[in-house]
Amino acid sequence: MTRPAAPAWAIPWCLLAPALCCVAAFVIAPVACVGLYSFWSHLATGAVNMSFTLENWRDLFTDPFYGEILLKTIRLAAVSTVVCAVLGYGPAYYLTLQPARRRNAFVLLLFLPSWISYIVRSMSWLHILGPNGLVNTALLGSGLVSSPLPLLYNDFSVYVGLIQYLLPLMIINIYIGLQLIDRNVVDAARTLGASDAQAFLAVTFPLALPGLSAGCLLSFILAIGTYITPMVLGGPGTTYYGNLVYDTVVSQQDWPLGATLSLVVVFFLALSLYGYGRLAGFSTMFRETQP
Amino acid sequence: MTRAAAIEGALAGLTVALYAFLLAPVGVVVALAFNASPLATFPITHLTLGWFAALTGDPAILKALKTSLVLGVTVSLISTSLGTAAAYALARFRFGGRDMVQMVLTIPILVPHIILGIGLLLSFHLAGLVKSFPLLVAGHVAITLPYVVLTTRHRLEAIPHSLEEAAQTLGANRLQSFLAVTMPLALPAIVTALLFAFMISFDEITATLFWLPPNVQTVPTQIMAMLEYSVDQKINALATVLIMATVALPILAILYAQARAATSRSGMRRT
Amino acid sequence: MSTPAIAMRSVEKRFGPVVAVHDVNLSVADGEFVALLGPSGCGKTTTLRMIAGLEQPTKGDILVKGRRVNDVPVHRRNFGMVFQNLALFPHKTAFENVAFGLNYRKVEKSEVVRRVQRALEIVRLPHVEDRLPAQLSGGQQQRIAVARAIVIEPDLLLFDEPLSALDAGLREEMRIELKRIQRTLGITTVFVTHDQSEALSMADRVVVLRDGRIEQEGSPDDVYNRPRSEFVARFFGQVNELAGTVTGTDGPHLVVRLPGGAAVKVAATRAASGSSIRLLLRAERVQIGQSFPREPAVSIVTATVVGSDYLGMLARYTVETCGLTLTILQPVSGNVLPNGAAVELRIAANAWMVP
Repeated sequence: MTRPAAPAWAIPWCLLAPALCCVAAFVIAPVACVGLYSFWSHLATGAVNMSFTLENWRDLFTDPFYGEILLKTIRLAAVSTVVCAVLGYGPAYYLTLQPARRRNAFVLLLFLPSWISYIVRSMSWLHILGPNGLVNTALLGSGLVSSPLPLLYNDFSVYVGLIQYLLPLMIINIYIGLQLIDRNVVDAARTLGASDAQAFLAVTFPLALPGLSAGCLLSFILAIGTYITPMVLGGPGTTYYGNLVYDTVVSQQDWPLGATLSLVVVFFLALSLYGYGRLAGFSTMFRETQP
Repeated sequence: MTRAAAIEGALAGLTVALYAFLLAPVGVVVALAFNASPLATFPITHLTLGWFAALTGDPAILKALKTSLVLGVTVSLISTSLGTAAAYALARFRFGGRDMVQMVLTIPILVPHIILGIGLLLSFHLAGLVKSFPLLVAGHVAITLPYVVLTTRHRLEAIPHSLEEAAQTLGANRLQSFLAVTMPLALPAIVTALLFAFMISFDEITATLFWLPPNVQTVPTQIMAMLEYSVDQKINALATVLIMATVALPILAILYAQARAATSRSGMRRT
Repeated sequence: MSTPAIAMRSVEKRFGPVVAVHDVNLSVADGEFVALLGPSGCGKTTTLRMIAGLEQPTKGDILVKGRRVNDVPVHRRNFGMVFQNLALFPHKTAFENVAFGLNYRKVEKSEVVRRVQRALEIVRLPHVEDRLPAQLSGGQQQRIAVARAIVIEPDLLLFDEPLSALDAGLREEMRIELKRIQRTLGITTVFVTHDQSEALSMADRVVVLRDGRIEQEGSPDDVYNRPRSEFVARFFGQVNELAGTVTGTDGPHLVVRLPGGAAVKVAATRAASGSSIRLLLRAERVQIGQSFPREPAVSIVTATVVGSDYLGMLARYTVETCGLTLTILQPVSGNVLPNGAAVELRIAANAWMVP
């Protein structure tokens, strides 16, 4: 008689086990840890006092410093997201009008920046916005200004750098949302008497909304936690929430407080997911999109 | 000119402008890296490869390059093995909880890197471990795994189950039929996943900054550290190396996938 | 009686709450060509896959030559299977596809070449060894799939609707080919199809399935001319349904009065006078013409042609009689009868089926 094969039900779980363990140990457990540490406190010696305390949370809610920075960051995230959505919709729509070959080339170029490290994308602006950078050299050379414009190491450069980071993601998401629309639906509207603009507003835009929502969700979440762009391109007065968290954890080594602060980011993540779910339907959330 | 054509023209202009906005800054870095002037400024007077040469003379930079390479290779191999196995399980088997598992494996994409950074740091500390190379590997595997699963699952689902069943009726057991039939056909996706995992790991900085053991840098974190002093040309040269490496890989993957695509779309009747 | 090549005893298959196959008992003799026939969802493919080992029965036993094979994994069963979408390995040449099974049977290289070439000759495709499946036509791919299944000298050949995606002409050709190959090799074959003409033309025995149960099994003649249920009767060809009242007997036949007054003689068992009766009549068992001689075992009914379809070999008439509409299939010689023509229908007493 043949040797009995492994029970059929066990095979998929054996294949899944290593990956699931990784996710459990390196993602789920860590996020739980963050929650845990927020209830502990930091000792002057640098160690962590593992007894339950609410002092981190008290500080967070009572000290106006944190609230100010948070509001500033929310404004950064919201403005960047809106700017990306407005700027990005046109190109996304333009892409759908292209024949297949050119479209593929455009999409490829769109992904190209995402293959380049975040740090390089941020630092590249130093050469463009600096007093000796591309913009100022051109402006000075053409005589439009007499002294270099302060385009760097301030909020302006942070916004520019962040928008450059978020824009491709936004365009891709809107593009995917537009691609999923059945062409016939738009044509049907036009045969029924809608002009191009009306067909767009009545049919295309609403149907492509999930894509736009996904793009906005992604942008907002990424912007809330950003700290590298402010660090590289920012100057005095451009401390955002991400910088605060980084400083607390890495510079001050106050992990409990850092954990507490970062939970606020998690909160915004959950809030954004909920908002997206309400807007675009919870079922669309885990639809697969291809890189 | 018709209104439609005018609108399309305007959209085209906007698209080109935005693409320039997205790509030009990176182009500037690359251009400057070849600039002879020691100041990272315009105009570009002479071209030189001297800054790239200078990189080889800087031990810190060489160490960072080595770290990034070893890390990238380790991470991509681990991630691809684990991710492909998981994707195969999801693509081939029907079992309870499948959707849940898919969700769990994909969720890490949504977790902001700053949270992953702190979280893994804290959980290592809680487990009594110190910041070390394995911490970097663990973190990068966590970050790259969902991408591997998504990429390979898509391809595996496109390979009809009946191919493996046919192999089994002909005498190959489960493992043999996987190796003889599914693996060769899934190879483009697996290689793509491997290259992407390497690229993501090589580029990673947002979470990595939380995990660096003392005296260890990866190429992106090295760039970050150097920026604190001044923007000198060596940074541009190093950044250019980073760009070349991480842009070349996906392009290689795409070319490889296209070269193999011809054979994979054959032999199946559409039913 | 010799041990059957395949025996299925009380086999059941459940998928969660859904029962795809209920209590199936089936025997296939050595060398027999059996067709599993039925509409989609009737369980025929599930049954085939259980024989192959790709599905496990929830209950019951499957025996091959008297040996229980429920626990034998697929790759050890030595059955050749041709899948609906052929499942040719796209990355291997025709030769490599056919040779695949031999690689797992410890066959010497020279022997492999010999057997592959012989298999290709049997399917009449000897010169395409180095081509990839993508470079072959639909019919050629079909033959390679068959060659791959027979080269391993299997105990059983299993076909899962292999001809369903071919166009009509190719399908006809392949039916004849497959039948010839099976006859030449004498391998027991189980063939799943939803096409009744395919089953009738190819099989030694037809098993009609419905909702996971065997409705009837028998020779093609049996299931076509002696259907044991209305489902089986209706499955083959075109069937007219009539209702009438039994008014008495005439010699060995029942006399049934149809609505509209006409009386017909039906060869059937006794039924009580006055009882209502349902009758089925195959469209091709009615003859249509201007007038027919009166005969004792035959009923003549007048009718009017209200429509006709020219089908090449046949004409399909829609006629009205006794307030009923009937469909009649008739070989055509000369012109098709025009609409409005008054005709006589000749129906033999034994043409009626009583469900």
